[in-house]
Amino acid sequence: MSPEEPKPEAAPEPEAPKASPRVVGYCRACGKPLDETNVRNAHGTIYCEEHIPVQQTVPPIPAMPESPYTSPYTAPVPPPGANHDASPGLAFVLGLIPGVGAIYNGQYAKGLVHVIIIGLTISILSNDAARGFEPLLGLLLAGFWAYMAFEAYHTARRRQQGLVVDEFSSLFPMRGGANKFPAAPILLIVLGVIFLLNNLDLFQVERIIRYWPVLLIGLGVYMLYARMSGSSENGGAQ
Amino acid sequence: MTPGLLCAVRGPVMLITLGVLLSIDHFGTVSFARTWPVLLIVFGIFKLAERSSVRSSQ
Repeated sequence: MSPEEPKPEAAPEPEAPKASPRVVGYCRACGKPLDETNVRNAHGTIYCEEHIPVQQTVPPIPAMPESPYTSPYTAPVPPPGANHDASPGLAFVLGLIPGVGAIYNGQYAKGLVHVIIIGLTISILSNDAARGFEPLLGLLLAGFWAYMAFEAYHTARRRQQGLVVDEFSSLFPMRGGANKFPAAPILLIVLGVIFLLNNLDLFQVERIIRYWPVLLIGLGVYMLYARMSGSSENGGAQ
Repeated sequence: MTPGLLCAVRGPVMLITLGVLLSIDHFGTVSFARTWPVLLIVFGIFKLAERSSVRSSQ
């Protein structure tokens, strides 16, 4: 006896489903046995015809177009992914707590990265590891704190409008930058080389990095130059 | 090298680099506190290679 035929009377007529309907499952709600004619799929499981959930059987979009101005469901403005529960103001307030703003937006990995950055900066500031860089690190900390809040605000607004929010949106330019100058990898490599040379005592970074405020001056001069040249171009065009 | 192959290889190579650095630290020639920027350099080289392979495949 082969194991494929447990019932001897079912084996000779496999092509007669009307005479003996083959049971494919049981209703999730009432337990009634279901064959292929009355089984209904909903929420990843099966139901009988009486107990299927209502929102699966009645899609609201085709039923509504008679009166589009009275129904909020057929308004053309929100795309299907729009989330009206996302409040930008609440996201801003929660964004003042490190990582919580990103968690509110459902971006858990980004929240973890925010917490790690804030924690590392505070721990560097609070022991003596930052020798002479307390102003720079303090400015960076304050700026990053404000960045977290505003980033959570803008992400919540994008979610509210139904736009697609990437997991690491506006944290790193992860993709789509194939045509741009590869700034982030080169910055990583340069930083790694500088730290390695410093650690192997081949190159004294502290002697040079003592003059870091020169960077601020240089940045200001560059911005001034860009603005002056841009305004002169605009003035020439007008 | 295709981008998928580079992505698949990146994690193991980073792990191998970390293991080599830690074993160098353990056997006492150069401590890990001095060689950790090698990880940054390897990661940056991988990102650069990924970017160039994506550009060449397009």
